[in-house]
Amino acid sequence: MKGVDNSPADREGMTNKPIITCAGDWNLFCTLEAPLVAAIPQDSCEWRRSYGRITKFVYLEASFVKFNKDKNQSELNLLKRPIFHVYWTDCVDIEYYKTTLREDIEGWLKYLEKNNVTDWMIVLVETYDIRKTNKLLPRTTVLDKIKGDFSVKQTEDRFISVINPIKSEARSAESWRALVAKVRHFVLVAYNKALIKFEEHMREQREKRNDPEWDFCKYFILQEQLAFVLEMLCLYEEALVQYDELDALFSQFVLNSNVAESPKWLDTFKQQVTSWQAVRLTALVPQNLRELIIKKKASLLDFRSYLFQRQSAMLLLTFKPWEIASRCLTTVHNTLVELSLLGAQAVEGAAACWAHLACVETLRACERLSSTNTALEACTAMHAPLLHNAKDKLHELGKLCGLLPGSSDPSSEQLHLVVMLSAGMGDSEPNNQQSPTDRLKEALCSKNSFQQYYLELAELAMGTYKHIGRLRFARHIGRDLAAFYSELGESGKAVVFLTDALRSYEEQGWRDLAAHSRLELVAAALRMRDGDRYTKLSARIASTAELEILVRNFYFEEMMKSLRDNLADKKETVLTELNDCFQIVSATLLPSERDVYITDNKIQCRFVVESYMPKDVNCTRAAISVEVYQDKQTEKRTPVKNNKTDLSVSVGSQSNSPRRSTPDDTSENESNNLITSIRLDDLKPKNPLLNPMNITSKLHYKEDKTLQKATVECQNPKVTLKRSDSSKYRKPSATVRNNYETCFSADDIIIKPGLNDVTVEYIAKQCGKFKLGQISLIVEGKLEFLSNALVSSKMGYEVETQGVSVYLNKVEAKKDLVAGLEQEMELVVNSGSSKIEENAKIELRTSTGLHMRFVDDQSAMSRELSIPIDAIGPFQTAKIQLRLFAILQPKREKNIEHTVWLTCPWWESATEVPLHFVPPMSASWRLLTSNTRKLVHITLKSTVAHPLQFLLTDPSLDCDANTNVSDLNPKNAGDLVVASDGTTASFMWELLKDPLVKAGPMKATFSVNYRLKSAKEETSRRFSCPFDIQDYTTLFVIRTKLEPGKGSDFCRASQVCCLQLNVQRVNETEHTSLMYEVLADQTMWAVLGRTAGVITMESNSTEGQCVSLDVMPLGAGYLPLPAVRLSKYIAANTRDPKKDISAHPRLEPFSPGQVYHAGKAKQIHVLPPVPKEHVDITV
Amino acid sequence: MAVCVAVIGKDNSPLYIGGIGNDTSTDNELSRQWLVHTALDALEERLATTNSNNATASANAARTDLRDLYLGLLYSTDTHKIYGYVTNTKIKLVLVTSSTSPSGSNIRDAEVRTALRRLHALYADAICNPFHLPGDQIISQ
Repeated sequence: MKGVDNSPADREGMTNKPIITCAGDWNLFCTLEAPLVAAIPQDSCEWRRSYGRITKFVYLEASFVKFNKDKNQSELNLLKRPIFHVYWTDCVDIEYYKTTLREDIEGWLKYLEKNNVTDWMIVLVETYDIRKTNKLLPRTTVLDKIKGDFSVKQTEDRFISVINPIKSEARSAESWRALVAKVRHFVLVAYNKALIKFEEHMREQREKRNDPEWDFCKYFILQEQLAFVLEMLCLYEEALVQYDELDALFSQFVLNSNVAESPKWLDTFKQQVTSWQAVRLTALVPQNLRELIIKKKASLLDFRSYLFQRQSAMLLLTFKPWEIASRCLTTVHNTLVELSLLGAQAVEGAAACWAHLACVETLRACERLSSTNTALEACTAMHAPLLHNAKDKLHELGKLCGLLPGSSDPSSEQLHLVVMLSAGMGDSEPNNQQSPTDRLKEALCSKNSFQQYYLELAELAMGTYKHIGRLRFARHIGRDLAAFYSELGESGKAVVFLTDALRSYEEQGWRDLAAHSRLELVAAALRMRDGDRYTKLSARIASTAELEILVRNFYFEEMMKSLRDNLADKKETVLTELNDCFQIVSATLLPSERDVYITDNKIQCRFVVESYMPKDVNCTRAAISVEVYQDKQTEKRTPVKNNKTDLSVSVGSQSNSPRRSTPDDTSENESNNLITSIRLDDLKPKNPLLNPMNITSKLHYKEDKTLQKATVECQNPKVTLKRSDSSKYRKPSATVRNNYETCFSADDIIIKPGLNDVTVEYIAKQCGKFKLGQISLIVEGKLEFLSNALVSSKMGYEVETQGVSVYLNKVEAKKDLVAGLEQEMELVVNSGSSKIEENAKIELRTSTGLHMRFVDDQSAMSRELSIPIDAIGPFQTAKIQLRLFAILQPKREKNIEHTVWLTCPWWESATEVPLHFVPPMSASWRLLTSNTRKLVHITLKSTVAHPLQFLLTDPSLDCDANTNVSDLNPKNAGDLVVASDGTTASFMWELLKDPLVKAGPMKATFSVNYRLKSAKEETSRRFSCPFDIQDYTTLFVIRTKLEPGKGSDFCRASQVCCLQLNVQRVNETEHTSLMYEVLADQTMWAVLGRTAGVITMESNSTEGQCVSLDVMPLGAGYLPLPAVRLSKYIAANTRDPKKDISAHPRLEPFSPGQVYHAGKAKQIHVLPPVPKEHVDITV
Repeated sequence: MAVCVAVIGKDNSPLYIGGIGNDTSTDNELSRQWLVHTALDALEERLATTNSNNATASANAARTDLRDLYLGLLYSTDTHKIYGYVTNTKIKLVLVTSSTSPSGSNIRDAEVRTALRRLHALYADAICNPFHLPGDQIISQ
C-alpha cells in the first residue's frame, strides 16, 4: 500500500509528508489516491500564518493513511501525527445517508471533536451523470443533507463534492482542482494551528531547561520536528533557524557548564568519543546519528556532526555552499573548545582527525556545488581558511603519529595511535571515489604519503590565499612550509619562503616578526653550510634590538667564529648591507687649513656611525669611495674680466698651470652645489603630517549682513592632502661594491656599540670635483658592510692644484717706475702646493736698455741674471730683492716700455713681464725773437706721478758748429729744482749767429745733470733733450704807424686816419713778392679801401716799402693797432708752366721767426669824436 | 578574555602591540604578533568589501557617517578570536581574545565593541600628546 508510514525511504530520506487520514469509504479513496497525491505538489499554495509571519508560497506533499480510531497520535508529535482528516463518501442516495452514513459521519466527527481536531473535510464523490445535468437540480442532494446536519457557519466550506475523475475525467477537472486546492489550503491551515500549538509546547519545554530533569536530547528531537516540517514545506531558511537555535542553546549550556554547575544531561556528551567519522554533507538526514541522539548515546562529536550536517543540508538546499564553508570553521573551532571544556575523553588526535575531515569534506561539498554554481568566487574566499585549518590539523596529526620529517620512526604507541584513529574514522563510502577519509588514512600510514598530502594541502592553501589577496596568511603558511622543508632537509626551499616572508615583514615594519624570521633563516643557513649568509645573518641578528641580549651575544660570537673559521681563507670580503648593523648618522668633510682642498694634501672626512652590535667590533678598514662629480648643468663660464691687475700696480704674472683656468668666482658658485656636511636625518622625506596646516576661520555673511555660517578652512589642502608616494620606501641596497681605488680610508678602528666618530682621510692626487660615494666598513677583514646612504646626497669637495707662482713686484707698489733712476723690485716665488727643489734657478732676461742686479751685490748691472731659489716647502714664499735701471734715452717720450723674460725650471716657456717706466722729467723749448736777435727758452718739468724732487746742475745747450750760444742763465743761482708737484725750471740762451753765414736748420741738444734731492750720495745723471730749430732768421720787419687824418692833430673816433705800413727787408731772402693783409679787429677799426695788397721788395735795397691805408677807429680809447700779416706771394705761374701746377696765385706763410712785427704790441690813443682839433698819438 | 591589543598604523606597521598572558610555547608574544599580522589581511578584505558596497551608496558623506568603525570578528583559530576596528584615519585596532581561557570563550560581540571603542579613545588620547609624531610607535607607560 502506498503512502503508508515506515516505508524504508522514511528512515533515510526526508519523507515527513503531512499525514492525512481517510475515513469513510476507503475503497473509494483508494481509487482516487494516486491522482490526488500526484496533484497536490503540482502547484504552490499561499500559506498565511498567524503572528504576522511572512506569507509564503509553499509546495505541499501528502501521504494518506486510513483513519484509525485507536491509533491517534499525541498532538505534540508533529511528524507522526495526522494533520488532516478527510471523510470520503460517494453516497447519492439520501435514504442511505439517512440510515447509515449519517451515523458514521456523526461518529467520526464526534471522535474528532473529542480529540480537539478541527481540521477535517468531507468529500462527496459524485459520478457525473449526463442525464442529471439535463434535469433540474434535485431539491436536496446528499451534500446538502450533510451540510444541513453538521455544518456550522465556520465549517461550511469543509463540505465539498467532487466529480469522480476516474469515471469522467473531462467533466471532473474543475471540481477536482477545487478539491486539491481545498486540501492544500486546509492542510496549511491545519499546520498553522499545529505549529502554533507545537511552538507553544516547545517554548514551555525550553523554559524548563534549568530543571535538573530536563534533557537536551529530548528537546532537540522535539524542536527538530519543527525543522523537519519547515524543511518539508521547503522553508529551509526557517528550518536552519531551528537548528541554529539549538546550536546556540547547546553552546551556551556547554559554556555555562564551565562556570556554573553542569546539568545532568550534559554528562551524555562527556562520554568517551569513540567515533570521529567524517561529516557527510548531503541533504539526507543521518539517521544513525539521530538514533544515537535519541538514545542519548551520542558523543559530542556525533552530536556536532549531526547538527553540522543538518545545517549544511539546509544550506545546500538553498545553494549557499560558501555559507557552509564559513560555518565549518566556526563549528570546528567551537567543537574543539567544547571538547576541552567538557573534558570528553578521546584518543589523542581524534579531534584533529574530525576537524581535518570536516574541513576537507566541506571543501569537497563546496567544490561539488560550485562547479555547477556561479558562486565559485564566494566559495574560494572561504576555501583558503579551510585548507589552512585542514593543513594545520594534519600537521598536528603528523606530529602525534611521528610522521613529520626529521622525527625518528614512529614508535609502537604511535603506530597504535594510527590504527586507533583510522578505526575511529569509520569505513569509507561505498562509491569508488577516494573520500577524504581514505586520503587521511592513507596519509597516516606512511611518512611519504603524509608528506605528500601535507605539502599538497599547504601549497593549495597558500595558492588560494594568494588568489584571494590574503598575502599575509600566505606568508604565514609559507613559514610553516619553510619549517617543514627545513625538517625535510631541503633548506634551500625553506630559505625562499623565509626570505619572502622576511621582506614583507621588513617592509611593513614588523620588526619582531622579521627578527624571528631571521632566526629561522640563520638556522637554515647553518644547515646549508652557507658561511657567507650565516655570517651576514648572525651580524644582523646580533644588531637586532628587538631580540634578547643573550641571543644577540650568542650570534655575535657566532659571527666572529664564522669570520674566523669559514671566511678566513676567502680572498674576497663578504658584502652586506651596512644599515642592518650600523647607521650612518652624519658625515662632515673637515675644512682644509686653506679654504680649498689642494692636491697632495690630506682631505679628511668625519662620519658618525651608530653601531647596533652588542659588543665592540674591530673595523679593520673604514672607507668612503670617491666618485668624480659630474655637473649636470652645462657649465656657463662667462669670460670673466681678466683680473690681472693693471701692471702699474702689480707687475707680475699669474703663475697658474695652464690646466687650472677656472676663474675664482665661478668656481665658488659651482662648489656651492656640493655639500660638505650632512645629517642623514635630513635626507629622509619630511613627514607631511608635520607641515603646518594653514587654517583660518572665516565668517560668511548673507546679503543682509546677518551671519550665514562660520567655517574653518584649510588654505593649503593640496600640501596636506598630497598623496604620499605609494611605492614603498626601500632602502637602497648596497650589494655592489664601488670602486675603492680612490677612497677615504682609515684602518683598525674599534667601533663601540652606540655612536662612534670615524675620521677617514686621503691625499688628493687629482684636482677636480669629487663627491662621496659608498661607505664601507670591513669588520675583521672579511665582512664588509656597504652603504649607499651618501650617494644620493651631493656631498663632495673640490680639489685644486696651486702651482708655483712667480711675481716680479715693485717694492713700493704705488710708485711708478722711473727711468734713469735705479728702481728696487723684488722677485716673489710662491711654492703653491708643491715643493721647490734645491738648486732651482730662475733666469731673468731684460729688453735693451734695462739692466738689473741684486740689491746687495755691487757688481755691474747686466741684462741677464740667474737667480737661485732656495728649497722651500709647500705654501712658502721666497723673495729676492733686485735693482733695475732703465737707461734714459735722449728722446722726448712719455713712456718707456721694457720687458723682462722669466725662465723658470717648472715651466716650459719663458714668461714675459712687461714693465712700464716713465722718464724723470721732460723738457720743452720756445724760440723768442727780438728784431733780429734770437733767444731759446727751455722749460723742465717732472712727469713722475709720485712726489719726487730733482736737483739740476750744469745746464747746457749744445748747437751746431755754425752757431754759438750765449748763456743767459744766472751763474750763481745755485741748483735749480724740478719736482713732481709742479715746480719747473727754466733756462735761456741767445743764439749768436754769424750774420754773414746763411742760416740753415739748426740742431741743438739741451742737457742738464740731475740727481734726486732726497738721496744725496747718489751720483748725478745727465738728462738731455734734443731739438731742431728751422727758419729762425728774421727776414722782414714790419712797422706800422697811425697818423691822424689831414688837418687834425689827434686820432679821433669816426675820423679817417692814415695807417702807415713799412716793410723792411733785414736779411737776404729770395722771396720778393709779398702780400700784406691788415687784420683789423672789426669792432675797433674799419679799413677803408683795400685791406691787402702785394708789394715787391727790391732784392738789393734794404729800403722799406711803404703803404698807407685809410682806417677809421670805431671807438675811443687806447686801441691796439691793426695787425698786419705778411705772406709769400706766389704769382700765377704763366711763364714757367713746369714749375708749378697751379695757374692761380697763392700765399705761403712765413715761419714764426722770419717776420718780426715791430708794432705788435703798440696801442694808439684815440680821442672821442669831439670837434676838438686835437690828436694825440701815443706810442 | 582579551590577550592582546594592537594598534596598527595606516601603512600596516605596528604602532603598539600589547599583550598579557603567560608565555607558553604556543601562546607567547610572538604568536600573538603573527595573529595580529595575519588579521590585517582579513581586515583589509573587510574594508575593501565595505568600501565597494558603499560605493554604490548615494552620498559620500553618508558613507563615512554610516560606516561602523567596528568590523567584528575578523577570523578565529582554535585558540583565539581576532576582532577588528578601524578608525576613519585608517588606524587599525585589533583585539585578540583567547577562546581557551575560561572567560574568553564567552565573549559577546557588544563587549568587544565597547572594548575597542575604549581603545580608540585611548589611542586618540595618546596622539593628542603634542610631542607625539603621528606614525611613531606608541609606548605604553
